[in-house]
Amino acid sequence: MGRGRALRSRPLSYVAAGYALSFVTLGSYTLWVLRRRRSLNRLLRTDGRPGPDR
Amino acid sequence: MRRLLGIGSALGLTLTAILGLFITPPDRVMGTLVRLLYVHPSVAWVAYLAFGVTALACICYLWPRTRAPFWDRLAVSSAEIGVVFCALTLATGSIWGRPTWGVWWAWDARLTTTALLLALFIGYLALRRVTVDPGARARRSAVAGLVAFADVPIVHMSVVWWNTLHQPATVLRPSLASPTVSGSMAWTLLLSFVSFTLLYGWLLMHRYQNSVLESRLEDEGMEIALAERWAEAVPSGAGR
Amino acid sequence: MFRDAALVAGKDLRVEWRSRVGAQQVLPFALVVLVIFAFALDANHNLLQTAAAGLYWVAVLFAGVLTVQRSFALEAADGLRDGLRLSGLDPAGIFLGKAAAVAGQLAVLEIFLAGGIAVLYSASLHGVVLLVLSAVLATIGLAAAGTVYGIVAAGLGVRETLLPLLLLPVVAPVLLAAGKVWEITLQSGPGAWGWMRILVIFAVVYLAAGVLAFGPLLEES
Repeated sequence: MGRGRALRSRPLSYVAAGYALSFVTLGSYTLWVLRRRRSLNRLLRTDGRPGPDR
Repeated sequence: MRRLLGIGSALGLTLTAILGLFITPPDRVMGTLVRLLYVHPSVAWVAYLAFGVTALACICYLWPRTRAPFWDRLAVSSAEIGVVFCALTLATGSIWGRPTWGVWWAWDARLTTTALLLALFIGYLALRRVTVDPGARARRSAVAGLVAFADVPIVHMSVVWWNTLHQPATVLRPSLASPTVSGSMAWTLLLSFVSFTLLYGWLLMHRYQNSVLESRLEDEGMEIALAERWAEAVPSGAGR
Repeated sequence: MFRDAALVAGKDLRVEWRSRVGAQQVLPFALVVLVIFAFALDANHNLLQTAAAGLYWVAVLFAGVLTVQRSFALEAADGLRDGLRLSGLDPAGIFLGKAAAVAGQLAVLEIFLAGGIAVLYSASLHGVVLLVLSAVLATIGLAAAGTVYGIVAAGLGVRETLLPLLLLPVVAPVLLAAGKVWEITLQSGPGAWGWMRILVIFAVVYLAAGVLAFGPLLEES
């Protein structure tokens, strides 16, 4: 039983790695896009309107 | 619309993961590994879809009657997403391949073409990054993108042929790698395709928006910076 | 269009003839590449002989990238590209002319490199018809694709690193097909003509792409 589980868990670790990689990659990319959006907006919001808002 | 896509894809992906990892049964032939089936083909499909959209957008940009910055921005947004998904396709395929065939990589037609596709579009993104003038950038990258995409069938044709000559080991033949899907597996597979496609749509809309903002930044950025400097200078200078 | 092409090709080739960069730099580089392959493969005689065709075409590819770089470096100096644009020459003709010049230089290079593999790798060069025919087709394809990407990357500061990145994945089928034809021919095997088809398709596609795209690409800031 112990050995059987060990053998079966190896493919499972590949599966887990695959899912984890996919979700982490896509999640990071999503976060990156959203964060870029926010910083672009911040850069553009000072729309020629002067005044210290720091 | 975008919110719908976002919620839809988030829900769908969560459901896919739960179903794929826990609820669906392991395959008779492939065992637990079949669970990667709910990720890898969908990600591959999105990659091809994204590059296809880029190619189409390049055509629309170059065609005089439909030329508009919209197509250029769409092209780069879709290409960037495509590169992410394509790299992920190769990675998940590799993860699948290792326990199945014992190798991290094999020079079969699909893998090789996909790898070359990734290289082609990394080149496309690199070209865009170094071209400063927006008009030139749009035109050059549209041509480069289209010409790269036109190469894909030629690449595929030559690699398929190359492969049949090599007579790869039977274990690498695609037919043995695709398990028979039925019941809950089929539904999960469908859900996975739909969810990842929704994710693509959602990312595309966001990335496109970034592209618009970046163009505005290019145009107005200098003026905004100058206005800020003026604003800083005037009040303190007036006191003196 | 063809008269303009001849004009441009003549100009490029004449510049090359006078500066002899191809002969003095690119050719030795390509030969050195052949030597380096021998080092990498530990001068294993059998291995080199078997791999001769593939290694030959890799060397041609590298030399091709350099040749295309050079072709566009000719006009990199200020105002020369504007001069070309304003000269009133047909852009498709300019494309064909530049591609032809690149092809011509590559052809000469290939002859010397063939001698190189005959000597260095003991490759026996029989089946000359197939070798030459495939080389002609491959060279046309390489020159056409190279010229298209050359103008795409022209005028950018990072041209030296960008052009190989853009070009090499695109011409991978040419490497594959031409390498295969040469390999089959050198080993006197069957099936070379199928690969020729890929070379033809590639050459046609990229000649067409260049003729169509050169106009819009040339006219810009």
